[in-house]
Amino acid sequence: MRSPDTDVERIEGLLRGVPPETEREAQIEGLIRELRTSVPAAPRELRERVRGLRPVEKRRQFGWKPVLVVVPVAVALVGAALLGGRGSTDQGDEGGGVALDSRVGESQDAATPEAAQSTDALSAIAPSSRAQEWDVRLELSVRDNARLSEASAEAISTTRALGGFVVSSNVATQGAGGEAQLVVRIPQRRIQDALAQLSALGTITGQEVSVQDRQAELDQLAGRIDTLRVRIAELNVRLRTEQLDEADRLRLELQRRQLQRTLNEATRRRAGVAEQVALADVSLTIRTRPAAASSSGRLDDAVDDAVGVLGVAGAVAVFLLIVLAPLLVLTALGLAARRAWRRRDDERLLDRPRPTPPVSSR
Amino acid sequence: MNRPTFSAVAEDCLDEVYRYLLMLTADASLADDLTGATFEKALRLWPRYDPRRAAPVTWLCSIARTTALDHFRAESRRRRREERFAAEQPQAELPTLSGLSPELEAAVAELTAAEREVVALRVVLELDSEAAARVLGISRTAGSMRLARALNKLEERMAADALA
Repeated sequence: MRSPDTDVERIEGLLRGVPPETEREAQIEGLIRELRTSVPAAPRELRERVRGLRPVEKRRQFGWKPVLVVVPVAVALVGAALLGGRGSTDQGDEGGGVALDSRVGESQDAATPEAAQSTDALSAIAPSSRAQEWDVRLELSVRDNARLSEASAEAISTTRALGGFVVSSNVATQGAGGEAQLVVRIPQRRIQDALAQLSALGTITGQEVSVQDRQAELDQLAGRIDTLRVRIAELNVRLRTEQLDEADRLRLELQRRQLQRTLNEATRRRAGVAEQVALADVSLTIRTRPAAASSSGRLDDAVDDAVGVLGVAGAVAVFLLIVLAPLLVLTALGLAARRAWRRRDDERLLDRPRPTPPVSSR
Repeated sequence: MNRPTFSAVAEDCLDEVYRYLLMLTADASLADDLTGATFEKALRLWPRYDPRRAAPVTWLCSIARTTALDHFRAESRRRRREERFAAEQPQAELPTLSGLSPELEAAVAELTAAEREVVALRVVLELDSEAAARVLGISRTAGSMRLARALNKLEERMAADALA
């Protein structure tokens, strides 16, 4: 009578070389030995074929992993663009006037992109043939007090070279810091040259350009002056040619005197407006850049920008998560189901002696 | 750990992979083809091979198993399409596992492919139970039980032949 099946532990023992204890185990040990020694090695042709394998140069294919880098970077760029757009130059336009006010970050060199952008913004408002009153405020920073003095002197000489004059000048230094305040008046037709040259004296930290159209006021004054002159001339003719009694003559002369005063007043006002539009007021403040405060300010700005960008990126990430989460869950379930089905298919294939019986002999 | 070269691994493991596929398919010609395909695939995947996670022979046998299963699946689909035509063909002669005694070869041929596979890994290639389980994608216990069942079947068949 045959012994029962050899159990798992005994089989494992036989594989490790433990001596057989029964006849059946001895048979199995013999099978193991024959299988280990008799299953042939790879044919020589196959070995040569495998030796001849060479890696095929193929274009590098990027899988889905780069998406993990590209998407956050794209989100960050979009966020930065949104924040950058929000912080751009503000422009206002009220009535006939134009006002431009902006503050830009400090930098080491006047020829920085920020400075160039500000100068471009100033240049965008060109003087026209209409009577306009210009009021410009410009704030610059320079690296030290020596440069502060040079810049102040250059501003004064530039003003004079352009046909303007200095209304007031005040340069004060204390320790490493200093400030120069200049108020100059420059012919309106040269204002663009003046802004370009004054802006180049340092790094622009603030600017305000206010342009008020005064043409309508001038036209109105001119019309009123003409009317007054005509009326005064009419009174002169009446007083010279007509036979008037004393009372009427006195009344007309008083009327003429009143009109003459009004005419003088209108003429003075027109002259005042003409002077205001002929010369632009430029208020120039130049400061020495405090090194520590400057770097601290830049750091704060950088931190603010970074937090802002991260906030936008986080919002976009949450939005994407909400939208994509159901799809991800469905995809994961699909992959798991596909894997289970494939596993069952594998077991079914291997559960027969020949998974693919040959159609014809090889 | 020093990373071996692909050519050195191929040279060392070629026989093991071929023997595994020969036992799995019970078809020398098919084992030859699948071994070549396995090493071609392994060459493409070689940059991703991590020696700390598996021995080269374990990694190669996993690739060989996937290659063989893909082949079986494709062949099954093809055969279903050609079933009618195949039914009219004369029964093909089964290929042989050259090297084994005729009795053992017949007994091996009666095992299922899954049983031959575990015999190939544990007996012929002498992989330990953990490595074999990794290749088969099953637990160590399930692998040991499958092996015991296969060897007992082989022994019974051989005993029956001896009595006959």
